[in-house]
Amino acid sequence: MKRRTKEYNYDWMEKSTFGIGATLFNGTPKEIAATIGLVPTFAPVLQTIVKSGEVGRLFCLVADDYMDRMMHAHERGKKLVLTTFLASNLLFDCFDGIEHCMAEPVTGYASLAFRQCNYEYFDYGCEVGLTETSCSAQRGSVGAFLAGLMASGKPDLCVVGSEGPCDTNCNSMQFYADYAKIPLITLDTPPTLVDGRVEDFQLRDLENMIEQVEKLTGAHFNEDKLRELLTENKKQTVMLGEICEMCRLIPNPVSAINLLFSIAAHITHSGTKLYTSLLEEVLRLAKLNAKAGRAGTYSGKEKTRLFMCYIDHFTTDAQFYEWAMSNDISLLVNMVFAFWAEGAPYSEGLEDECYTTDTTNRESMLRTLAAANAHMPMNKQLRGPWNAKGQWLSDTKGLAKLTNPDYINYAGTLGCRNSWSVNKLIQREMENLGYPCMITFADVFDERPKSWEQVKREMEEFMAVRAPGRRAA
Amino acid sequence: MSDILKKMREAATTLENEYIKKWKEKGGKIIGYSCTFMPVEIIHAAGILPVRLRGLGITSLAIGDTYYGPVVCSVPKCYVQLGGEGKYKFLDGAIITNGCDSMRRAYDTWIEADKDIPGSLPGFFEFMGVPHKAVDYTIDFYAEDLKMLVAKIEKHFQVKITDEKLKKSISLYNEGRLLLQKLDALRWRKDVPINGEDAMAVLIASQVIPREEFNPLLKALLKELEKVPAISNGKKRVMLIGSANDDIEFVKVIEESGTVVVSDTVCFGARTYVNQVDEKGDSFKVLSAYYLQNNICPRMLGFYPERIAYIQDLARKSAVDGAVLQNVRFCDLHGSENGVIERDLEEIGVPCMRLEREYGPLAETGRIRMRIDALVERMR
Repeated sequence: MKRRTKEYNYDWMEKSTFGIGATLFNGTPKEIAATIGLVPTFAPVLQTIVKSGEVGRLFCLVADDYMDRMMHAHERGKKLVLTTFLASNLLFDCFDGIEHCMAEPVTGYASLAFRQCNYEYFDYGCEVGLTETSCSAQRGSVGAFLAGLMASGKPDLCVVGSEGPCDTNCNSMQFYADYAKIPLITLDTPPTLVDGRVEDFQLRDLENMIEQVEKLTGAHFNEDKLRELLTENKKQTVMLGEICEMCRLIPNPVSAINLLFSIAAHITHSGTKLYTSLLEEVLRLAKLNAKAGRAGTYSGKEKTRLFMCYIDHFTTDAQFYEWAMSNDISLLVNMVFAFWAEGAPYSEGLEDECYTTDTTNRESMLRTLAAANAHMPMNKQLRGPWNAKGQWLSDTKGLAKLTNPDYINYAGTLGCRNSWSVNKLIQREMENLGYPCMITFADVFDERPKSWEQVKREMEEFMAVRAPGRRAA
Repeated sequence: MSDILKKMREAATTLENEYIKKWKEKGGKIIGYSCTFMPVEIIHAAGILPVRLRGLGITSLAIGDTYYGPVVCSVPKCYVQLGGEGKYKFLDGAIITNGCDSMRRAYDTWIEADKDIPGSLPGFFEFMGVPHKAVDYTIDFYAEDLKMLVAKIEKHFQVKITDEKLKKSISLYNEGRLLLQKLDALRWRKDVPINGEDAMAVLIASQVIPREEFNPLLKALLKELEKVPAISNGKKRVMLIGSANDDIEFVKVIEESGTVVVSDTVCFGARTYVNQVDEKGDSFKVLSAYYLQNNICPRMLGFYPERIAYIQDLARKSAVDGAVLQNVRFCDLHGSENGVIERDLEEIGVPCMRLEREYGPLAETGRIRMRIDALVERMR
């Protein structure tokens, strides 16, 4: 690792970047332009965020708040849990005295905002023992922890919320816990979803987790706090459903970057008022666009509808989103956007795959929490055989039918064994249904195996050959 | 070489070995299984021969690669390849467990391969989810799953798996475990009577030979080994750790550098006979508990402290001079855990070498040999 990389803490840089980013919106257009001129290396991503207006400001506040809570957890007498985005933040936010670091969004913030990206942190993890074939989504932030470059200090424990759907995700936590000699708590995910026995198992597993977290950290599980979080989360799932519905419109009035902000903020802030404000703004803008018959692209026109059937491409400077919005490409909701709360638009006819929110008493709330966690993206769709009920194929078909894409793309990390094992099957099935479907051989957090420029060229070529714009406005 | 070892080596190096052929000639049924978390006693109690799935004899992965993506472990790809090539025709069934992400997708990809190449899939084809931790409620959960598996086997094969049969199978397999533990004890002696290559052949054979035949063979071999001269004079003692290895040639390469492999924790190796299944109590529960509690596999998250304690203890018992920590490429579970094992074994004075390699024919012998030589130099 370069000496200069060791001079600043990873979390401090993220907090500073997004904290200052949020204040930028207080300036006049002239002041903003002048500021952007002063930070040429951050200009592209700042411009994208500034162009997204109030949603961008709220997202900066979300990221700033998250990094602030994480960075100062110990100073404030709290314990810090290192976990991954497959675990619902509600699992930890219902404790008094716990803050969390979700490895993927924290890696993702750096991916979006650091010019040097995550490369040295990725590699540091490998220097101390992680395989180079491990998933990059966790390796940025975990690499920074391993290198001792987190102002927050060492986490107090690791929690895996997803044993089963993703080995590499779990493995990063297991490796860190073993390396740092801190406890690891896990939630197991049996391969079936719609099964009363599994629901009971998950409840028991959650109770066990709560007991262990209390014992190991001295933190207190707060029932009232959980009720508040679940109530707000329920409101948010309705709003997420509305965004999903808006994406069905032709043209799609939801902008690509707002979809990213909606999902990134969900990972860290579901159940909070700040996240509700962000979703309200996303919806307000989408409704304005819909009323005017405009797409969420910069020109307001929609040339192509793109469905990323796994995850988006989280390039440096948010170039993927900028590319989509500048080229009249509407991004559609994908698996990462589907939380399967009761009433979600994609659940019509599949109501048994949803979970319901019940805040009547402690047990009903714990059941809800266990179910919400079990329905997190990937936890739901990647737990069992690819074409079993409620699994990846069924969700991909359902979302495609709902949002009517012109073109489907698979992108993931090269560490994702689970999806790389069956993405050819998904491709074949979707092609058979008439959707041009492309697999991008790239890593969405690490541009070294294939640069974004190359990915973009390949996607454009595929779209030109296989899915020429059907809806030029 | 003794006749017994010859038989064991034949079984270990041939996909459809002589025992399997004889079993089929007698009209016996065979079920393949993908991982050490499958309680083979259940299959045995049905009167069916349990055989560990392997990727022997691969010359191409054209079929496996058609269904699997490129950045995936080659072990399960080999199953699909061999299935597609018709080399698993001797199987009447197969059970795929979620040992890891690559492995569990063999269930999906093999089914898809069968659509294009009809007949590649065994008639009975099941997926088993195995919990990732061993606590009271996961043991109960897995025990219930095992009961459901029994019902499926009974229905498909028209057999009855009684508790009495299960208990007999548990007892027979325990006997085999005890014998394998005795073999280990011989390997740990100062004067080692068997090289690692042959010992690995015995361990692999235990998973592909009918247990009724394997136990007497091993019993006789143990007697022979008590009398043979030591082969370890002047050789460095090595422990083999990590992911799937059923290639005795790989062990041979390690030993060609002047070493003798005296202990291991690899999948296909010593992982299948740690401790014993409790012969009292509910058969499903004791099987569930045994398989979840005694498997030194990193898929069981949060149990590293127990695993490293076991490995360090084994290193001391077998008095090793060094350890080879290997993993098949894209096996992040073993690969990453090897990173921490390396730190913790070196801490107790055992020099280690981490080796990422490809499963299958030894195409990289030169590279491996050079690295083993470097490790041996560190042992001096």
